[in-house]
Amino acid sequence: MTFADFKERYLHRMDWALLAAVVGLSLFGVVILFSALSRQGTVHLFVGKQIFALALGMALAALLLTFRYQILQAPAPWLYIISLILLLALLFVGHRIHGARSWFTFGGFSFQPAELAKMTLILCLGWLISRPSFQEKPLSSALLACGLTALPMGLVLLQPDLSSSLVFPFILLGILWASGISAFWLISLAVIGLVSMGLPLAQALLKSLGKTEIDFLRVAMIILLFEGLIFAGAWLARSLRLLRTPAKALLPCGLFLGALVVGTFTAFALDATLKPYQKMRLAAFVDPSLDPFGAGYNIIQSKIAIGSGRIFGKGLFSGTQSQLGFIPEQHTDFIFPVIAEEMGAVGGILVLLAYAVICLRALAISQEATDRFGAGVALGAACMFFFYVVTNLGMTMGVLPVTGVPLPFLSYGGSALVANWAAVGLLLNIHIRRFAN
Amino acid sequence: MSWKEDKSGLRGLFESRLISLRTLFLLGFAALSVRLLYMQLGRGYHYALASQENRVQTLFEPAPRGFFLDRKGEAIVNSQPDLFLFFAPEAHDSLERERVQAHLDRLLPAPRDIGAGFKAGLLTRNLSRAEAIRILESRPSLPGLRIGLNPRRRYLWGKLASHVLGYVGRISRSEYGVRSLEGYGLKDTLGKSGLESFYDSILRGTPGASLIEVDARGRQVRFLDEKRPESGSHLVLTLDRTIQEAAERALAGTRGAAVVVDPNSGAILALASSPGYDPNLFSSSLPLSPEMKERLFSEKGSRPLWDRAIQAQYAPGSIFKIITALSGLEEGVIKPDEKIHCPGFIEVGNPPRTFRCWQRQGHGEMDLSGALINSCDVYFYEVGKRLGATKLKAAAIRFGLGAPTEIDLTSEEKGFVPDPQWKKDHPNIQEAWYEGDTVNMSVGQGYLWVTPLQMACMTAAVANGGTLFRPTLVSEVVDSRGATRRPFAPEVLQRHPMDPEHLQWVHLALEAAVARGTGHLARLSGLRVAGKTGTAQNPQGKDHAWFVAFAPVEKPRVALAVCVEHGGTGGAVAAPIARKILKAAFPEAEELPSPSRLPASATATVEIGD
Repeated sequence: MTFADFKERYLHRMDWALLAAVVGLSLFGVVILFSALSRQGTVHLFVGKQIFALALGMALAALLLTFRYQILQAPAPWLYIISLILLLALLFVGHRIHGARSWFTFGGFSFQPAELAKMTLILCLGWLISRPSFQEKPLSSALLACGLTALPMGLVLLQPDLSSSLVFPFILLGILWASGISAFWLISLAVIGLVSMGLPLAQALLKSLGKTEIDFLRVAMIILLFEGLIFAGAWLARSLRLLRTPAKALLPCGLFLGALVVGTFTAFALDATLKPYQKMRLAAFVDPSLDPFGAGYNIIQSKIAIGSGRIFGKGLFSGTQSQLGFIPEQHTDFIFPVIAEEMGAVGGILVLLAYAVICLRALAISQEATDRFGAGVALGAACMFFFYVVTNLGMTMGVLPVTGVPLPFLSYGGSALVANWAAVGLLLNIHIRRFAN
Repeated sequence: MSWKEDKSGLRGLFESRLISLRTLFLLGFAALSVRLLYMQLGRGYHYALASQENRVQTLFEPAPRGFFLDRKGEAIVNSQPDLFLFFAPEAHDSLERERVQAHLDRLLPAPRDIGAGFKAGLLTRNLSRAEAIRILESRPSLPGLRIGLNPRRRYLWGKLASHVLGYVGRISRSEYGVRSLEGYGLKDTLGKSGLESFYDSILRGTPGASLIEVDARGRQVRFLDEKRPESGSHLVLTLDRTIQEAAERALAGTRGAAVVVDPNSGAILALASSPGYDPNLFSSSLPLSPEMKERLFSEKGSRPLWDRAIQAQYAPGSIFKIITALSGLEEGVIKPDEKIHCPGFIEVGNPPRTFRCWQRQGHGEMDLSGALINSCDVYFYEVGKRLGATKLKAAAIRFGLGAPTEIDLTSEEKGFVPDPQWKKDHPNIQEAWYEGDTVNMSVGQGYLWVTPLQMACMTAAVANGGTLFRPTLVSEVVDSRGATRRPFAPEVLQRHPMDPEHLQWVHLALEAAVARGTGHLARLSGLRVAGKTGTAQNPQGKDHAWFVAFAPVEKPRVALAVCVEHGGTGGAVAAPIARKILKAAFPEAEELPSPSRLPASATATVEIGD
């Protein structure tokens, strides 16, 4: 390939805005990581690892640019299956940190398969919606998509790593929505998902609150019975031709019923298998005020840090909240308060702008994509980034619950950085190859 | 053909779905930006204050309380640092608190619960130095635990002068309500009685504060600003420790009081009340044991907190005869050598009432000197009759009776001097004043009430020729830098110069009363002591024993009053106590081997009473 060729193929077609935003955030992330870790003796180790991961991620992104992304379409399910196997293996041989088996470690490095799984899920869902059968049977394909999402998500939950699992359903919803599935089905699926996930969470919450007067089993039974009656009545009315209900109205009812059953079963299974601290974690996830010395304190300090930055900030390395250790987890989930405190509104808005560029460019790339696979993958990446940014910033600014979702390109964490750069590589690949030829 | 050119329904649907997603994204970023700008620009000031509060911690440092020094400049009360342990939680996860608790349990012998929640609390006081050092050494693993320093009041001589010195304690709610305007804080230490209370504002000093920057674990990062506490001023007392100790030793086992005053200035050399207490009990923050409370506060324990020298009021008995005698001379109703016959009783009023002399068979012909030596009642009944109630009362007032002495102690009682009008108006009496009342008063009985301190001051005035000084306990106020802030100057309350000849008569008569009269048990060789015994009858029980004295007669340097509650006769009980005190004040004077050389009559008199 000549340079002219290279110029024609890559440089002219490159999405410079996206690249600039990502490179800017990544480099800024290294600087701010220095500040966030300056109180710790191991700052160079951490920053070194982060720079290594950044280099790895950039290399991976560059590698992903060298071939047509469509090459990934056929093996996407296999990649997905590999990541599932990794997740499964993790449950047995994973390295336990803070009570969760989320990491494979080799030497001084660790790898978080959940980060790989979210990328392979995006690819796999892209593969799914680009299949001809999707257009023929959108509903069953949508159900298949739900299943494909539920599997890795469930495995991640079993680690248990709630915060990493949250991105999965959001990717699913985004891709399904863009794939043109009807709003009715989408909402039905969302409700069903919420029920089946919500029941175990609600049960964990009630248990840890000590509200023994609420007999969860009885409540679940009553709901099931109620739903069963409605469903049976509707079915009966329809079969007796008393009611001209379309069949698709009955299906969500049945699914809902199934979700209740699954949810109830999961709730009891979790209750029987989870250790008390894990249940407490689940409960604190639902209601952070259950753990005021953890989440509540963190949010107060995080808000103080952000607000006290005011317009121009206290200066890099000079934030009192960050440098004196008031902000918890300030190199990972709470990196944004460090930026907002030390760089003020100027720095905060610039970061927001960079994320807006990334997310909106990803949507644009999805729109320009030459095939459904590319469109789906780009859209999945867009939704993934948007989800991370909103939940993380919403958490640090005290408007969303504490979920422990990291901020892409800024939070410390090698696997996430590499995975996010891989997503950027895919996006750029789709962008560069946006023309049919 | 291809997905992009396919303008069929699905592609259109995709495009419209993308628009809705883009709208969602834009709304999301707009909301985040608005929230960020609201926090940083709208509420920035509020959060900046909060971050300042977060990082800056004010540590108040109590000021060392001023010391008490005796008249020789030797410390009798000081303040010693008391190490205490408290928990200021900044640890926000319960696991860490458990670790701290476990670690602390290993360090301290007695378990201390650091509790849960953000509540800060005192864990223990009176930490030993060793314990404090152990905790300081493990500080990195004990986040939130701090060691504080509070000066603890120490009364170096235990019970010595406990009533004068008083004691300190944590300010009470009601005291705080009264004194918060004076700058007292809710957790301040306050003098509760005695000099500690009277001079509290001088003793307490000004607390200091340091502003320190702390990190999230409460560890000190650096000093920002500091204001050193200003130590309270020291008080140099007029107390003479030797005399005070002697007075307390002499009173030991009795309920009573002794006051020794310098008649030339009003300076109190000793002020003792028995039984006493150890003020250190209140400095310790440990609660008092029930037995200790019983002993300190109940009647059974003789109420040791009660300062009998200034708060107990007794009838003065025969020591009042000094006033009657001097007043009789000054008013000219008697001549020093004039003789009055004592048949053992006198009849007063109409219908006549018989007032007996303590000596039933009578003293015979008595002049002033003989009457004071033998404490002849009939002689003074007659003088009182001649003076009348009004003049007798005026004399008593001139010697400071019926009014507070204005000593620098709180809760002083002022005694009482009756008069006819009072008796008529009194709701429980409502009677006319009889001559018998005057007669009674002339020997210090009836409605008269005095405190031991008043009697000491009266004696001092007799000794110095009629000047009533304000008794004081403090000779100097020395600030923490050693500069004298308030030198002591004698303060005259009343001055009623008396005819030196009259004074001479009375002084000599009182000297004789000690040398060979009722007060002979107070005799010391080599020291001219003038004194007067008193035995105050009272309806509560045994007589109160009184003795007042001054010495040396030629140039009085010491005046004293001793009172033993329900002790018996003044000559037998109070006079020996006075002798021990005088011995301490005049070490060069010598105890007499035994009273056997005394005239038999005088000895016999004393055995019976006066």
